[in-house]
Amino acid sequence: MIIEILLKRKYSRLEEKKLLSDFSEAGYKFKDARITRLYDIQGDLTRKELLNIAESLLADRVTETFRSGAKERNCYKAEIWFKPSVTDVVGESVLEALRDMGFEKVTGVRCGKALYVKGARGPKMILEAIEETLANPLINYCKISKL
Amino acid sequence: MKDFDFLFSRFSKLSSKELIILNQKGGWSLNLRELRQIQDYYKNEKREPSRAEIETIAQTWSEHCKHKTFSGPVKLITNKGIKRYKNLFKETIVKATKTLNRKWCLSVFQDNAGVVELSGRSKWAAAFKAETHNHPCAIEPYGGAETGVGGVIRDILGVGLGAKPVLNTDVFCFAPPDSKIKLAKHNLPPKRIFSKVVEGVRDYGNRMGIPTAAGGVFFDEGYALNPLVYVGSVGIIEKDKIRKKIRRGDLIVVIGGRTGRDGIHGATFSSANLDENVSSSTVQIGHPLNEKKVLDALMRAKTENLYTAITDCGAGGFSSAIGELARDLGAVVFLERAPLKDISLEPWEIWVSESQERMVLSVPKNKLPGLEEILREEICEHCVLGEFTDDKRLIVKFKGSEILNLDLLFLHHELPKIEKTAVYIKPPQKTLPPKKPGRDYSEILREILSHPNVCSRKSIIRQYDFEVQGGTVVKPLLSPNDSPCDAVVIWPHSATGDMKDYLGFAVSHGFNPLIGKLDAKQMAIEAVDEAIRNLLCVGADIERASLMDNFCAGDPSDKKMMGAFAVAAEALLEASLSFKAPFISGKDSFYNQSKDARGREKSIPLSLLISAIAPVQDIRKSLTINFKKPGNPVYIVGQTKPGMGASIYNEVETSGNTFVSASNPRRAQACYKKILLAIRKGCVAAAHDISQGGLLTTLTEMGFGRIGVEIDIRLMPAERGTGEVERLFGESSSRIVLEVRKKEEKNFIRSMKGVAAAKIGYTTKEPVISVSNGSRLLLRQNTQDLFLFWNRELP
Repeated sequence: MIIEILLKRKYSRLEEKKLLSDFSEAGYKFKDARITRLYDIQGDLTRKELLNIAESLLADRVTETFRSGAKERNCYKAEIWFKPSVTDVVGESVLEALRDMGFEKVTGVRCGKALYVKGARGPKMILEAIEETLANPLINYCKISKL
Repeated sequence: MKDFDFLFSRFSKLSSKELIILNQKGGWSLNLRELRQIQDYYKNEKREPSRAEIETIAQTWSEHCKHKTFSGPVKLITNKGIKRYKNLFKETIVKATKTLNRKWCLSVFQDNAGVVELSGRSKWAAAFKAETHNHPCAIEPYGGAETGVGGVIRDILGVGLGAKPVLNTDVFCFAPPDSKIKLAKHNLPPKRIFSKVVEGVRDYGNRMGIPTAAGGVFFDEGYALNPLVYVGSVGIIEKDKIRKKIRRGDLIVVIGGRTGRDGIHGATFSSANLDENVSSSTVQIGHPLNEKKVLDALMRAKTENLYTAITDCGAGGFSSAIGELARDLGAVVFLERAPLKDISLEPWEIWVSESQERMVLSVPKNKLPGLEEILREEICEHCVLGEFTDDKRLIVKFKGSEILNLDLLFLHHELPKIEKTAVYIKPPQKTLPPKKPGRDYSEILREILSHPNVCSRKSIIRQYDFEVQGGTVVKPLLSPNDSPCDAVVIWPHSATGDMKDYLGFAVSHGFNPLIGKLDAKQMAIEAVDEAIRNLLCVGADIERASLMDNFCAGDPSDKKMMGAFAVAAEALLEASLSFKAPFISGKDSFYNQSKDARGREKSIPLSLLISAIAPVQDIRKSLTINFKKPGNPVYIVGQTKPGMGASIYNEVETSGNTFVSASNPRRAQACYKKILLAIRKGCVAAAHDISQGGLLTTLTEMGFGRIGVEIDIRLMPAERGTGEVERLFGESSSRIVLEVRKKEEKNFIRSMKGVAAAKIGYTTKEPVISVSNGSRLLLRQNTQDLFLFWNRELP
């Protein structure tokens, strides 16, 4: 199951501005862009346990919030993950922390990013923009969907 | 792969053409002579090689591991004739150190880092190492930079019986962030490389708790396709813990991270040109928290004498690390015992994987329980991978089958020596006097101060935790106003635990590849000179300075490039002997070239980083660059010479002059010794060397602390024919500006007898830089206004 961590709106403006500026410098103009962190937590866990993990470990409760499904509409969502052959150091550290917290049923954790974009001409444009700014095709792969 | 398997199964019978095809398919970066040598070995052994064996030989014989260009024979052709070197490295760098024969050089060129004594009265020594991680940073800048830092820290952990890292260094070369060079599809944009490399260095150093406090950034279009990332580390080690001693029967214990598919073929990848056909498995991913566990466990185990030797798993993974430790003995390894990240790994992949954060130890059997207890407490994974033997053979088994059985003498001593031809013709230089600029000096100074190679590095440095461990005395950003420093001074009490001993050390760098484009010899001498005078400017004991060379270049089969490289190496011998500063370690990186958007092969300019380290006997007396008090006399020491070649001025204004004046390192050394004496007597309040940007930049930076200066350039000691522009903006070497304490001026003058030194003005209460040429006022600018131009954010 994937847990998504988001900066609260009042703290995310700067990050969004920087993101749009990076895209713009690379030659891609979007109306709006937002980035979030993803954790794919594998194992036999209840939804309650997952939300407990998100709240107590993954999110900074002052500046961040969390969810287990996107609520955005009329935009593109791009998930950026490490390829399976690439070591995911953050994922490994989270797994270690979960084991220390007593979540023995967690079998693996992979971390990634999600990008929500408005004003894109299509998925090809988003993929190109991401590969020039956020992801390295050598180690990352992207999943793009329309919401 | 079918072709590969077929060819490989007939290795000892292959033709030259087939060997070359097999080499390309295997990604080994071996040349035909080397392949033939390997073929002969197997013909003698009357068998075919295993994949693990060929991979081991390829890794061990790679340029990255064996430095076969620098350590090989070179024929240098210059206009003076032909000179032959049997081993260029030994006949230049090593020769300098052997000739100087300094007793305080405790371990040089033989271990993972150079080790020098800081003081006869202290039981501690300093270990210093710098290396490059260029190819990994070009393809994955964040991971490449992280693992570069992780690797050099492990060199410090793996020197002797392990030193405790107290300082990290970083020097980067990138294309300017606004570079318009058309990149090939596989190249990442310079701005992205820049920001991701900085993030990688930041995250690894900060998470390990080691201050990243000394370094620099150099921008030139020549690095658009191939960035350079130099990373270094200094550690503190007990003098009685710098020798390794492995005995037959000692266990081979691996501690740290698990082995995965990441970083396979790293060493051979670093020994080839960059192109688009790069596999994700060559990318290494860093895990600083694992390395911190290794560090903590090792420091405890070392104190309890629980191991007899240690080295890191760097390029080549287990194959290089165990191959190196076992080179005079022999070893047997049981590969199935290695903890894995990915159980689908082939045995040969486990053997050569460059997964990070792993160290290999030699552990006497009776010490294993003690070591295991510490490793458990520090949550540091380990395995007993095998043991050392004495039959001079390296044997690797996997689940009962022997996958490797190599003669260590062949592995380490049978690499064929191939002579490289080097041709050097010094490029012509324009020696006409510099033209008068078409605008006023203030405007030029402002542009120079905001030039990417001069302006503040604050936006990078502020990302680093340069204060962690609490020993950064002279910091990379000085108060007030975050002024720059010439060298960082470290008080290593976090390693020694002694808060009453004020012994420390300073680390500095010298680097200017622009000079190398015009004069390779002068580039090398100036790099050493700059590193030494930077040490001097913080009050370090330059009579005990030691050096490290890090060359980066393109393809060594390029005769002109090799010519400049050989001339620079020869010049390092001269510089080292003149400054009486031995080399203690170094590294070289070739094949920094790749194809641009039009498919043309482009190489970086020959780049030489000199890193220097010297003791600071009392860190409380360290000097900084800021002017301290109004009314103090300001002196310039060292003669200004004609020539604007390789200057920043030439990048912002057309002087029509590209002459680079020759240094006189012997004279410079004599001069620096006198300055050191004056510093020790307490005569000097501030010191700053003249380098990029020239005298005006030096004075402006000294004035950022809100004290001004008024000078007359006519008073400068200068060679006949040195014009106004050369005095203001020229970058001729071996010059330092000193603020002398007014009360000590007579004492200072006595100290400086016999050297080219002159009072050029005074510090002033008003924060203004005022420069005249006799009665003619050339420039009058508020230093705080100028600060705004210098204090720009690098993107």
